Amino acid sequence: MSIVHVSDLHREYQQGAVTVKALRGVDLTIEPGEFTALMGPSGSGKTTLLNMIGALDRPTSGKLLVDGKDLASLSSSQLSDLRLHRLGFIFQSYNLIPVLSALENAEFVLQLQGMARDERRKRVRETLAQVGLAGMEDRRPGELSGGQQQRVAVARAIAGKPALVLADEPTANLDSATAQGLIELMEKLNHEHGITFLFATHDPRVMEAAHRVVRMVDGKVAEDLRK
Amino acid sequence: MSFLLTVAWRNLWRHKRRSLITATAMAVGVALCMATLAFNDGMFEAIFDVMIEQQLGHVQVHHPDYPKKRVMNDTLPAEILTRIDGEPGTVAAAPRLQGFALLGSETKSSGALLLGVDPEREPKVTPIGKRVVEGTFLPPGETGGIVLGLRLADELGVGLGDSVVAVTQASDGSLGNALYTVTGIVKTGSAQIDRSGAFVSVADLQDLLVLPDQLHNITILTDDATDIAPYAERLRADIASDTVEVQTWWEASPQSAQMMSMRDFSSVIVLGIVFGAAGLGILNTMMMSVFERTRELGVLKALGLRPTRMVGLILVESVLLASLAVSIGLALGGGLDAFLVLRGIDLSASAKEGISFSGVVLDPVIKGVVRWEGVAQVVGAVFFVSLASSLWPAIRAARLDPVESLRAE
Amino acid sequence: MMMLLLAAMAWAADPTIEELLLATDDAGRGDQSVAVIQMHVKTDRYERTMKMQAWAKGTERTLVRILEPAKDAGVTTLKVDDNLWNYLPKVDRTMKVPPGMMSGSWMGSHFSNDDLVKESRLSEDFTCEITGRPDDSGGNYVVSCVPKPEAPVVWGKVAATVTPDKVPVKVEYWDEKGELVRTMDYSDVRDVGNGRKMPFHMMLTPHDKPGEFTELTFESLDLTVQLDDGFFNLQSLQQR
Repeated sequence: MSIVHVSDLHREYQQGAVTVKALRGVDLTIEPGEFTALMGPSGSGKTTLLNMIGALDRPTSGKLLVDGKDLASLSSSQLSDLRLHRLGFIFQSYNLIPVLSALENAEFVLQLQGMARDERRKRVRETLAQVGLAGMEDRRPGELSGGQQQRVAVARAIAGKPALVLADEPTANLDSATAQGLIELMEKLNHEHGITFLFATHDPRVMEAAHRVVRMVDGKVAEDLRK
Repeated sequence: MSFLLTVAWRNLWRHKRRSLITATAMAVGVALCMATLAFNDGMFEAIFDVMIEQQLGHVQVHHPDYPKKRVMNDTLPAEILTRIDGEPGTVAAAPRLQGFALLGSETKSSGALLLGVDPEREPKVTPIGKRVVEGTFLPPGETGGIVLGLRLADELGVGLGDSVVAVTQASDGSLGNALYTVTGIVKTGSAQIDRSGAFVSVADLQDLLVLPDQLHNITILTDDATDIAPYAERLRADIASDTVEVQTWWEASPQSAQMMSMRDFSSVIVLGIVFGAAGLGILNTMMMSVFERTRELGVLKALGLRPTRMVGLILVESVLLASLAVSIGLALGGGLDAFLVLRGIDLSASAKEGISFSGVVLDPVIKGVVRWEGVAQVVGAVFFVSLASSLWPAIRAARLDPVESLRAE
Repeated sequence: MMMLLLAAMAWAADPTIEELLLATDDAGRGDQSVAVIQMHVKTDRYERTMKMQAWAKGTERTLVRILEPAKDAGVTTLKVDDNLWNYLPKVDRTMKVPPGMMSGSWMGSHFSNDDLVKESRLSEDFTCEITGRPDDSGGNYVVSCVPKPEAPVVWGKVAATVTPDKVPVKVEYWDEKGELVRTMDYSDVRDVGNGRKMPFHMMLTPHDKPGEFTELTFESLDLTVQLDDGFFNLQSLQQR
């Protein structure tokens, strides 16, 4: 079963008097284990599409199935639960909770999922070790470098064992070496643990690492390249 | 839930100064409220003392017509007193007889309310003995003494040891008259008694009024001032009849009951004013807190925090803030209360003759009284107001659009 | 002829309004008198009988001393003008009745202290007219009186019924609302000398207190006595 199935997806919104057509009939299917980069110029609709798939935004029309569920039929609480249990998010600007330590930032998703304390502590420590942050569990975001913060964000995204991790320009704020390290980390997670990744990115290094590159132009899929 | 608690608690300390200022402002409100309530309750307790305990007692027994008609012959048989003494819960019972009489000294005369009391029992029910400003109260076991209200003694121009004639129309129509010797002078705080009250032994007054072995009233103190009704109910079942009525103080004096109920009313006003202000403070703090963290809250929402939990997060945060305020406030207020209870506020500078409140004269030093219900009300009000005023920010947070808020800076 | 003559005589003897009022005012007292009176009071609460001796000179001066019962014997009331004193032998004190107690009962009777003091003469404080004559009022005269505007009286109207030979039969008192509040009935008319007749029994009935009354029975009445004004002073009040 596909993790994401999108067909003829449209999204319009009002910007003052102007109707902006962000998506104009997107068709896309993503299978488990894929490592896909969505690319395209600014305004091509890749972030909008990512938000749709991330159940953060609702389409104007078209079909949108995530993890086998038709998102149009879900309430906002059900969408919350879908995001909590089935999706992981990595943002450009990390978006960690500043008052929580690295451990707690990665932990709270599990906590919200209702996992018992001992199990989730163990899982989070393992996950932080996986992303190379062993020993930094108790640091707050302010005490971590950008790359380290983004690794915490990755740990947070994958700790709950989601069906799909969505990453919006995850490397954009990082220096080149750090970005390269992060990409390798995600490749490794994809390769070794079968975690499905979908990126929206400009970063050529991400495209290079991706198995599949979907190029968007003017709110439509212009090219879908599998390597 | 513990996640919400952690995030909420840490958020409070993120803006240490703001949280502390808000909490301190609320704490000052709590402390002032506690002090005001303690003062208020102290004042009402003083009023209760003067009005209820000194005059009405907890429970009264009388002929059903006596309170309204004041007919001298509507009496109780004195032996009823023995039965009241035997009633469980009776702490003290004082028999009383009263009648208007003309009191005369060598040169002057004045109408007076003669209060026939049992010299031994009366001081156990009312602190009349302590109100004696000159001489002594009626000596137990003796007759022929009279204790005059301060102003009455002035008016008659008599002092200790002087003789006073009492003339009245006795119950048999005869002109009852007797000569008493002044043993003491009282200042009770009740304007009426100080101006026209005179205490004599109940036996003397029974003679004067020709009402042998009869009483107008028995005033009872029970062992629990806050739970009088069941006692009155039991006593009623035991002794009430066509000619014997048992009344609690609030039945005997509805206007006193009404006055005491003003205590709650004034408490509500105090609580209302302080917490109206506190509520606005919290609303402001929580609103700011929500607006500042739009992005952060958007992330939480994006990561799957349900809207209801979002509401919970904000409410928990305000409850924590309230808890902090309450802790500081209880400490501050406890200090103020302790001062009020131990030292009191001396109002004698502004009210030399004591404070007059609806005809009751109070001691000029008002001592605070701390009621746990009062403190609990204040604390409850803080939490209620905190929750109520952060509900709106909480709902705003719950309705955040994650896409929009992730874009926010 | 005979009939005419009788009618003429009756006309000639027709009393003036002043004579009728004086008869009422002077009942039991005369100008100067000393009397022994039994007073019987009946109220809801008690019934008592007292014997007393009363000296009177006009309406201004009165001294009443209780003779019986023994418990009250010697209690004496002195009235001079608008003042009232009681002498209490048991405590050997004289007390002036203060204004506030003037409306109180005198010796437990239905007479108030005020009744003694303001024994307002009908002829002085009231405007009177004859409203009934023997022909239409059962053989008696009726004199109706309303108080003069400034008169210190509590009644709204007083009506005296007097026989043609100037003996009072009854006096009725109405309050200001026009309600009959009390009636004084006179009876047991006796000759007191000099051709004067006086009632020896008076009964005061308050209509607002059913079943209650105060009854005065004269055991003796001496109208020939000569009394000094000085007799009515605080010294004689205390004499036993």
